[in-house]
Amino acid sequence: MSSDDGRNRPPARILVVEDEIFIAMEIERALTTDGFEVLGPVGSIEDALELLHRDQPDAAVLDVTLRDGKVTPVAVLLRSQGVPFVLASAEGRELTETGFFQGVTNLGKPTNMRLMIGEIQRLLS
Amino acid sequence: MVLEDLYRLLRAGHVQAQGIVDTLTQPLVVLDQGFCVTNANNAFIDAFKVDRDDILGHSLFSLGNGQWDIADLRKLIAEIIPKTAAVVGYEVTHDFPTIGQRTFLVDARRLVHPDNNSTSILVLFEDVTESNRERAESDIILAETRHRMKNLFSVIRALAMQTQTEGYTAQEYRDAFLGRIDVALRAQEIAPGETSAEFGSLLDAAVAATGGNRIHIEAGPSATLPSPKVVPVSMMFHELATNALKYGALSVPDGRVRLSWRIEEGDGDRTMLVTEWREENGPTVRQPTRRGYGTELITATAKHLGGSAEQRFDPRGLTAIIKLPI
Repeated sequence: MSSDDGRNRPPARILVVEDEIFIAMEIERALTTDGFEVLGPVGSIEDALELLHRDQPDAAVLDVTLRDGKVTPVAVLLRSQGVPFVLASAEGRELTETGFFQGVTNLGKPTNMRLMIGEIQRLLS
Repeated sequence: MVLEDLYRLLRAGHVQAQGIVDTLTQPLVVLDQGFCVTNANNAFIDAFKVDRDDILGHSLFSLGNGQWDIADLRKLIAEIIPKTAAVVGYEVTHDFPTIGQRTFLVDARRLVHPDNNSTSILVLFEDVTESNRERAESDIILAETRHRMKNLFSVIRALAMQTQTEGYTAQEYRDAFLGRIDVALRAQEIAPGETSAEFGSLLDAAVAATGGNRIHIEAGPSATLPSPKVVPVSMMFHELATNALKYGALSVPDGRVRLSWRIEEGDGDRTMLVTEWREENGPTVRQPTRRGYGTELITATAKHLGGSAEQRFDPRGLTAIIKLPI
């Protein structure tokens, strides 16, 4: 969780929305190992929205199908706040071909953690 | 019998043989060169809810206020059949006033009578509305299955990643990893699909393989957990049991664990399921110098589910209090 490479710049804060705890922990570990600070992980739309009331992340990693529905409300709020996000969903290609998520990167599942880190760095730059 | 069989029979001059056409379960209509109905079988009468006397001698396209004047069907009968003699499996979808939206596969065949050279057109309908709907449903189920498979692989991958390697032999790693996979599988089985699980059975399935009858579960008030929470909650208790077996009370012959639960009012209007894990008769407990992955997993899982997990390293035995919203 150090930020030495950023000359004491605080680490970027990444919201993780993922309802499978083991996957959430894997994502969290990958992000913290790479020097990011993790908000969450949260596993429901309700928890994600509540967290966003208190905190604003610099970027987000979103699963799409959650316990209480599709993550879209969270994504809408993030987009309105100008927070970039990347998806990590097992859904098919259609997901990002049309509709709200058109053009958004979906890292797929199982998610390659190195690609995820690379994509987040790209979103933040 | 299919249209070709019928065609062979009728070519011998039996086009008016009502007995033959009525053996067909699919609707069949026979037209003359002007597309007027010369015959229709019982299946046709039933399927389209028409009266035989109202249709015989009338153009198919004028029947029932023109409900049969379907562009695709007219193209088939008036344009394609005169040129090609036979067409099989031509799909026509139409909203009929009497029977609603239907999709048919239409077989059509031109029939020239050997005796007088007059031409008939046999038109056979197969209603595929239902089977098309079933196919669409099975496509959805297949997509859902694919989605779940990918998720399952991700979970297994994540379990492999979170099973500690540092300071462990390959054998130990494999046992720990497989232990977690077994718990995930057993947990799936006690809450298949979208059902919920009774908390007592969940605990039993989660710790029985590791602790056997040395973990005494005291039945508490009735409580159920929705299926998405069953695997993570089972994993927490599996981790506690595994730790007890390795370092805690279950590492010695006389050691025991008492497991009990109660329901409490939490913050706001939340109801909390509070489970107490109490180890007894074990070796003297010392505060661990570092947090193992198992402990980390328990804490993270409780937090992820909106609850908390607290472990007290009392010298007489470890106590864990796990609170989960229900």
